[in-house]
Parts: sequence; C-alpha cells; structure tokens
Amino acid sequence: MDWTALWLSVRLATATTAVLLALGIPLAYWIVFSPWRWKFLVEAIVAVPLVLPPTVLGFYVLIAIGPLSPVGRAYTRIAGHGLPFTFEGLLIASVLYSMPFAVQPFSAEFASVDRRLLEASWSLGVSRIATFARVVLPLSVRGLVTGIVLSFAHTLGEFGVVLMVGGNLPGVTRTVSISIYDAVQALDYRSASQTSLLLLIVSFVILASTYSLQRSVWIKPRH
Amino acid sequence: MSVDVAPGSILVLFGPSGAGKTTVLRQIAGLDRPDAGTIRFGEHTWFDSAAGIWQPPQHRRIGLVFQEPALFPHLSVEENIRYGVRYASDRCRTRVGPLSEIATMLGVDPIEKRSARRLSGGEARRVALARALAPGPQLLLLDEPFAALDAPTRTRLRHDVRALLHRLGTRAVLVTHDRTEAMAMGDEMAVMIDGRVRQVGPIADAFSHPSDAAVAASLGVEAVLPARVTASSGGLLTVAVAQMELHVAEREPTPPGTDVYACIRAEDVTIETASHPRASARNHLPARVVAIAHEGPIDRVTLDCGFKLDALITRQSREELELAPGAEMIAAIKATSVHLVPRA
Repeated sequence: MDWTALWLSVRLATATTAVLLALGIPLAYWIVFSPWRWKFLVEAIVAVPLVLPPTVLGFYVLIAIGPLSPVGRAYTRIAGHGLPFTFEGLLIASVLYSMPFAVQPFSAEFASVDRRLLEASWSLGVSRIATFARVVLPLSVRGLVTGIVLSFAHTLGEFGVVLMVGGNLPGVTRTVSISIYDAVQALDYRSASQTSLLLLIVSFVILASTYSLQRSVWIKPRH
Repeated sequence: MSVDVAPGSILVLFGPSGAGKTTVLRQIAGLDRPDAGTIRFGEHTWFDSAAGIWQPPQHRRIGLVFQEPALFPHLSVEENIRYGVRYASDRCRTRVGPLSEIATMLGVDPIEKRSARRLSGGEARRVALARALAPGPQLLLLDEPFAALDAPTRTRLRHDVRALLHRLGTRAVLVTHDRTEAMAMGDEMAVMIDGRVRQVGPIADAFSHPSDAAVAASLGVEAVLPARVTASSGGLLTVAVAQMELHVAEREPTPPGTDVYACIRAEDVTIETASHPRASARNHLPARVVAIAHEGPIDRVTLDCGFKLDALITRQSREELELAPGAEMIAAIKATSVHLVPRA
C-alpha cells in the first residue's frame, strides 16, 4: 500500500475542504440571498465541474495557472516557482473541481430556512449578516456537514484533474488514485487491490454517515 | 392615508383576503419596498421614493408578529425573548421597563429554558409577542396573529395584548379580516378593498357609517339594498326599497331622487308578531320567514319583505315567537339603524 500517496490525498482533501468552507459559505449565501437576476449564471459556473470531464477542467486549470498566464507568472514571481505540478496548483484545481459538492448543499440548506425567521430577526434590529450567523448558520448544520463530507470524499477520489495539473510526483502530487493507476500499470495488483479496497471502504463509510445524518436516523423526530 | 393613533391604541387594517393588507404591513415593516410614495411614522420618514429615502427594517424600531409565531427553533424561550434586546438602545429599554414585566403580563416565564419548538400554539404566540415587544419597539405590527388559535385562547390573548399595549403605551397596527377581532381590539380602523384604503376612522364610525357599499359589504353589514330617496321631511327620509318604503333618519342632506344603498345590519332588525303602533321603531314591514340558521346561541333569520333581510335573534326569542320557515311576521327597523350610502 502506498501510504505516501494516501497521506498526500488526505492532506489535499483536508486543505480543499477547509478552503471550500471559507469560500463556499459566502458564495452560497450570495447565491441564495442576492437579488441579482443573473445569478443563475454563477450557479451554473459553480456546477460546471459536475458535468465537465475532469481532464477538460484540469486542462483549463493547467493553462490558467501555467507560465503563459498572468496568474502563473505573478505566482512564479512571488513564490519563486510555478504552480503546475505543485501541491498548491493541485489545491486550486481541487477547490474548483469540488466546489459544487460544497456550495450546493450549503445553498440548499440556507434556502430552506423559513424566510419569516429572517424577517423576524431583521425587524428585531439584527443586521443581515448577524441574522445569517445567529439564525441561518445554526439551522443549516446538516447542510454544512453534508457539504464538508462530500467535498472531502470527492477530493479524495479525484483522478483526471490531478493528473492534468499535478502530474505524478511522489509525495508532491501523486495522490492515491494515481498511485493505484501506477500499480496496475506495473502489474502490482496486490498493492492496487489493497489501496482500492481502503478507498472503497472510506468512501462508503463517509457517504453512509452523511446519508444517515440527512435522514436523521439517529435523531428522534422533534416537535 | 394618514391616521392619528394615540399611544397604546390599535389601528386595525381591515379588509377581505387579497385586499393588500399584508402588503401594506410588510411595507410599513420595511420588508417590502413600495414602487412609489412615502411612509412616515411620527417625525420619521421610513420611505420616500421622490427623496430616495429607504430605512431597512433594522432601523425602524418595530415589532412584528406574523400569523405563524416564527420563533427561532434552535433557541430556548428565553433566548427567543432576549434575541432583539441587545440591539435596542438603553433608552428604549428603560422606557419600556423590565423585560420580565412584559413576559409576565403575557403569561410567559422570561427565563424559560425549554426549546421554542416544544411550545403549544397559544404559548408560541405569547412568546412571539414578548420577543417583539422586548426591545421596546415604537410600533407593533400584527398580521392576523391569533388566526390559527382556538376561540378561548384567542379571546384571552386579545385581551392580554390590548392591556399590555395600553400599559406600555405602544401603538400597534393589526391586520385582520375578522370583524369580531377588529371590534374587539381596534381603536381606529382603515378598511382596505382591492389594494386601496377606502375608509379611515374610529372603529365604531367605520362599522356604523361605511363610506360606500364596498366598505359596507366587507364590514359585514348584512343587507346592502339598492334604493332611492323619494321624499324628505323633518329630518326623516322616505326611501323606496324594492316595492317597500323605509323611513330613514337623515344624517346628511340627501335630496329626493338620489339613488342610495340602504345598509341594514342584522343585529338591528327585530321580529314582531304584530305591529306595535306606539313603538319607537319607524319601520314595520310585513315579512315571511325564509330560513333560519343557527350561529351558536344566536339564530340568523332570513326574511322576505319584498327584499331579503337578515335578523339576528336569540334562540329564546325564536322559540317564544314560534318562528319557522313560512311564518308571517313583522320586521321592525329603527329609522336610525338604516344607513344610506349615496351611489356614485
């Protein structure tokens, strides 16, 4: 079993989830509460990774952060090295790739909060932001947990995007799914099957716990 | 419209469903923005489309209670009541007095630790009222807050809320389509029909002197009869209704020939077995009983006197008079009980 690759994937998934939590909550808030009529375009952009082949997404990210783009050049000037084939480059790609898995559960949960609760809060003199923090977020815990878990699990299993943007550098960009691919290419079926089984079990446990949370099978109905 | 509402008094915004009452209330609250116009409260301008003024709900110092209590389900009763208090300035808190007094008058334990979602309907309304009043609003907005409650709870809450508002000196606007509620709680009344305020005034005036037929119909004046003034003498008008004549006290100068609606409330129609020539009622109409409907302890008797007329009488009276469909009676109406609305 390729523990280095596994550890890298866990670090990448953790970092991606943290970034998505920081970016996804304000973005989901904006999507739900903005009166802007063209906001569906933003929703569509966020959801694009759901249908786009990961290699296509990876290709565009590679171009966008590469040495020929302004972003890539600016980063190279500051950090002293380019973004492609680094952990940071991988992180950017993963955040984009997993964004719908965070933003959609967040926004669905925010939108399901009874609007009268918000209006009651505003009428009591509480600002929109404070109302969001004191009413919407506490009532959206399930959606937040779902988004976090799905982002983590989705990043853990990504392959195409990583291959395009990160390549296959052991300990730097060789994630667990690429490690499995390498093992199969090298006819090391024993290692491939061990890592695959682990990934399968982890994915199942994560999703099963998420669904149990959504159905609240462990929580008695409240009245 | 512009209304003077004394401290502690309630303005009823009355009208049928779909009249736009809730829209007006939401615009007063700052939850919806009107297309044009102005909204002023005292010396505060909350909205002025021409001057580009718009105060968000947070700046209006209002209390708001919906038809549903809309308590914060993740908070306890105490946390719900205190929710808006830390945002209110010290000035209004001292003006209103301690929060516990409000809670006590509403029959709510101010340090109740129970979750808000465990409350009964009546309890939840009381907590919602306490939450709205706790920060010391200058205006309380009530959108049919008692509609979903059972009758005894509703009656108690109406009384408690009126007493509390009077005690606090807080003005309120109450949206309702229930005339009993309007009469029970209101001081002033604005009647809305089809998005327009058709009549504003003290509540008794609005009920006894509807400004036009649509207001009269929405207020539940039972009979709104097309009629024509045929004669006028000594403050008494003679009005032709269908084939009959009614004598009506002349409140406003109405020349003969004027087309009017004659509005007669069922409460003001009495039923007699034979005419009493010396009774004060000016109108004694031969009437046939068409139907009798039971409304609790009151019976609604539909009469045909050449036109349809409802009378509300007690069950005892109905039994003593041996009323039954088909019976021939006399309907008596005082000349002062018929209200005339000139037709446009």
